[in-house]
Formats: sequence, C-alpha cells, structure tokens
Amino acid sequence: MKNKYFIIVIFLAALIIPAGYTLYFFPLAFLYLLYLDSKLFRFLKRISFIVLILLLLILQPLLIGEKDFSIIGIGFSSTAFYNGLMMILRAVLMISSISYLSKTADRKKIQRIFSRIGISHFDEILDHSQKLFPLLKEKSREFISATDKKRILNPLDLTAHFFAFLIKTTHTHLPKAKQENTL
Amino acid sequence: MKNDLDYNELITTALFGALWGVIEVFLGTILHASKIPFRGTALTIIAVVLITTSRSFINYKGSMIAISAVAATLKLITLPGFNITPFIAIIMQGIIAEIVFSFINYNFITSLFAGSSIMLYTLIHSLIMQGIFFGLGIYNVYIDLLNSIGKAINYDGQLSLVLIPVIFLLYILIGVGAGWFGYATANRTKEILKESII
Repeated sequence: MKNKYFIIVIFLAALIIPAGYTLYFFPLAFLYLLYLDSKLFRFLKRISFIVLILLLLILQPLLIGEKDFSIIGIGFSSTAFYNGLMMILRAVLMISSISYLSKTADRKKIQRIFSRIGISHFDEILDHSQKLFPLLKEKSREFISATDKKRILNPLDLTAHFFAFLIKTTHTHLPKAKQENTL
Repeated sequence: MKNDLDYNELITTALFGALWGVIEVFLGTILHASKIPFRGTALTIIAVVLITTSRSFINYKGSMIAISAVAATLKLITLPGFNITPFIAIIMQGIIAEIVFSFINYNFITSLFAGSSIMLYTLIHSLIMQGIFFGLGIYNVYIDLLNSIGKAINYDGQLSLVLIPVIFLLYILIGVGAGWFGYATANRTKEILKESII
C-alpha cells in the first residue's frame, strides 16, 4: 500500500521535475521500480516504443538542431540527442509507474464505480452480459463457419445478418435463462 | 439517464455491451499479438460501427455509456493484465457517442458526426498520452521532423502544416465511413428481423 503512494509521487515528480534535477532523480526512481517488479519494463520490447526511441535518439539529432559532433562523417546535434534521451527516460519512468498502479489496482473497486456513478440497471445489464459472453463467442463461431464465403463481398449485408442472428439468439436464450432462475 | 428500462431494452443493451467486450477481448488480443500498426484505429472503427448500429435498437439516454461500461468491465474481468489506456478509451468512446446522440437525436447525420468525433478522439487520445509520457516537447519533435522531411524533398514551406490537417481529415473521413456503415447496418438489420417475423 505504501509503495502505491510512493509510485504516485514518482509519477507526479517525473511529470513536473525541472530538467536540471532529472539526472539525480531518474536513476534512483528506476532502481526503486526495478526492485519492485522488473516485469514493469516489458513495454521496452514493444515495436512502437523502439520506433520512438529510434526517432528521438537517432533521427531527431540527425535532422534537428545545430550539428556539433559527428560519427563516421555524419553530423549530429548533441542538444537534440540529450532532449530525446530525457524524453525517453521520463516516458520509461511514467509508463512503468502507470503499469505498477494498474497492476495493483483493485478491479472490484473499479467495477463498482459504474454502479455508483448512476448508470441505471448497470449491475443487471452486466449480469446479463456475463451470461451472454460465452454464448456470443460460440454463436459468432457458428455464424462464421455457416456463412457462405461469397457474402464477404457485401460486408454491410453480412454484418446486418450477423447482428440479426445475435439479436434473435439472445432474445430466445435469455428469457429461458430468466425462467430457469425463477424456477 | 433513463431509469425505467423494459426487459427488451435491458437484454439488447447487455447484448451490445457483451459484443463490444467480446470484440475488445478476442480481436484486441489477436491484433495485439500480430503487432500490426494502427491496432487502436482498427478497433475504434469496429466500435463506431457497433455504437451507431446499437443506438438504433437501444435509443434511450445513457445507453452508449452503459454498453461502453459493460465492454470496459468485461475487458477488465477477462484479461489478466489491467491496462488503463484502452479502459479510458472505451469509456470515452461511449461518452462521446452519448453526448452526440443525446443532444441531437439519432439519425443519419448524427451517426456520421458521432463516428468522426470518436475517430478524432482516438487520434487525439494517443497524442495526449504521448504528450503526458514523453512531455510536450514530443509535439515539437514531430513538427520539426515533418518539416525537415519537407526540406529534404524540396518542399517549399512547412510540410507539417499540410500533413497534420491531412491526417486529421483522414480520421474524420474514416469515422464518417464507419458511422455511415453502422447506420446502414442498423436499417438492414431491422429489415432482416422484420422479414424473419413475417
């Protein structure tokens, strides 16, 4: 529980910390998060994140800012490189903090929020949806396997038939379930 | 928000919420594993079709928020990890649709408007998240990079001033298309249901 509040502080600090203090703050925060759970950093393997790293650390110093150093004859901007590095460090810290908070969030509390904010009959609707969930999986597969492949050429008609099929199935299935419950 | 739902409305709301949840869980998992780009955009297009179709059947105040809350909760219960970003996105899509359909009635034009608004939100959502995580400087990086590419291809002027509105317009058009598809699907579904009763 204490970790949770500390992570919130880390998240907020990463959000507002002045550039001059980042070098002192980031390494300590990383070590703390790594100590809590090393799996928090799994997002670093994501292609979208790797693309952003390449964009900020290679492409940005190549194209933006004053070129003040060179590697194998190619000019780079050290300011742009430093800016990119700080952005990545900040993002790594913030995403891993959010991942930790998400991981430790009480799902039942979140679920209860919708009932509390006044969505009428939410618990009843959710109860029916949970009953329908496996039925929809099964019936969707049934519909796909029974559908003529040529129908794909008319996606509107195909989707409409799919919805109609599900509406009919649901209305014939759920009243039965209701009767079973009352019996 | 309507308090006196009849049993049919309740079941149909549950159906569309569950269907959205099934799509988010199964198609979302497949798309996530495939690592193809624009996964969020693909899921949003399907969500727009589902939203604009469902409103035709559950045309009461609060129905869009209800189905989005159900879909988000089903995703929350079913999948092992909890990711806050798609959770927020699903709820926001429902809220946007609800605002559009509650202030102006459900019709062809509002379906197009809801579709384009939801698609625009999807684009802005990822930009906002990047702004929070990487800092507001990320926007300058994107603009500078686009302008540098413009210079490299000998484009006179700022390429970002052309490309950014084009991207926004593209999302609006995709949203309009998805909204139209959803509205037309709703009408065709009603026809099919009537034919089956006759």
